Amino acid sequence: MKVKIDPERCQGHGRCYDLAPALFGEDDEGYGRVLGDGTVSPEEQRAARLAVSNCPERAIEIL
Amino acid sequence: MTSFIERYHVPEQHFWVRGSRSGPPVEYDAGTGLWSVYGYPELREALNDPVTFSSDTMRVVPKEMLPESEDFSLSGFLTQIDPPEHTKLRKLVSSAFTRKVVADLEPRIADLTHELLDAARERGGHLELVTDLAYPLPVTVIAELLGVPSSDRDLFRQWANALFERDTQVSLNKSTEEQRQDLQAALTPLKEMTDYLGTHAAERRRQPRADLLTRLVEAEVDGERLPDRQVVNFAMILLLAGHVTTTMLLGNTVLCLDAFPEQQARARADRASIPAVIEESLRFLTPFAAVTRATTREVELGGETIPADRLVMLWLGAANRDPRQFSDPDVFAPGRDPNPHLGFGHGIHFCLGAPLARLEGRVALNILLDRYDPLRTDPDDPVAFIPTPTMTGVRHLPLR
Repeated sequence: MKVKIDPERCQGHGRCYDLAPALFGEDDEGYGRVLGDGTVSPEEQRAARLAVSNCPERAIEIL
Repeated sequence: MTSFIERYHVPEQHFWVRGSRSGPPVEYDAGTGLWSVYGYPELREALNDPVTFSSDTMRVVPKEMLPESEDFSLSGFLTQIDPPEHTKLRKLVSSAFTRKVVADLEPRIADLTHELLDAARERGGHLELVTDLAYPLPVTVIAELLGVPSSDRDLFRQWANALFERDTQVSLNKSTEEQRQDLQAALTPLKEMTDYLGTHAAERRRQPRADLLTRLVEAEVDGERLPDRQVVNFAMILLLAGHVTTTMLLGNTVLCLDAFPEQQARARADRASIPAVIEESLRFLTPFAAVTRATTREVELGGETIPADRLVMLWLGAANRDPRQFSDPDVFAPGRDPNPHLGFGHGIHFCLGAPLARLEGRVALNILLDRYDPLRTDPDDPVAFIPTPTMTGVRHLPLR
């Protein structure tokens, strides 16, 4: 399982890095970015789904 | 909702606070000449389409409602412009409000909160939350960021009140006399603010400092410095949006915890839940309850056809009570997960200051809970709401 952010959709709400700080970080302008290659460990799967369902712009995808 | 409305004297024009709507999600009102969008999915659709729902609303406002004077310009007003200009201007300041950057302000916000509460205690009598904390805290923080003296905050409050606390009705069909009065009431504070910020901006050009005003006068877009007028308008919006909204958020959150004491007890016991309390407060009592857009073409929305060049009110507050999205929308329930409220807007104009507002809300509420147990309004001194229909906030909130 991997997560991906669509940069065209992301508007910097910051819910992802608030809810799943192990998976997401922020760039210098506050937009979300995936940490590392986006691979989600089994313990982080719940957090990943939480980030997906909380993203107001629906910018996060689970691959 | 009956008890909430009666207990706090929620004005009639705040229709969506008085209970979730049962009418259609999109509607035209011939009386005001305005289209209104109330439904959650319809609102998201509109906010996700800034090409059709343009922020350049002045284009469709009748000329008689706009000033002819050269004192009036919305150039650089971030909330009133579309891409590509919007994208470029927003980029200039977006890095100043990221979570990482504002996190450094936490100790300052905490100190200020304690100072203001200490001052109120020394003065004696009861705490009036708005004057004693909810107003001075955010205005001081944004003034310090911008680089204007926070000691001028009474002046800022006067301007903000003159600009925002006027209308009790939103309409395009007012009498000429009403329009003239509305215009004059807005132009005077705008002119004063323009002169004030212009003076400070000119000073930064001569003597740069480490503040946002300096960043604005030094910023370049496409290799060119911003015109003075844009710098001033940009600073104006940061100053106004940077405090009026957070003042409302702080007051509203305390009001929610007064109305729902079991939620106050829960927040007090589990401070990690405070961010969720702030989010639910933004949904339940959305400070900026509506934003305006102008259609650039005929468009279908929620089963209605809105013609081109019409002014459309997008009621964020009503969408945040849409039962199709939120179960029991009229209940304040911080446990909602997810809570995809539209309190900070949505799409490309999503609130730039959201991380700062969230931080100020969390720090101030934590300290209030530490120092007041319980946090209770005074039943003998009623709460007063701001009358402006598009704004949800209290201007008088006495605590017992």
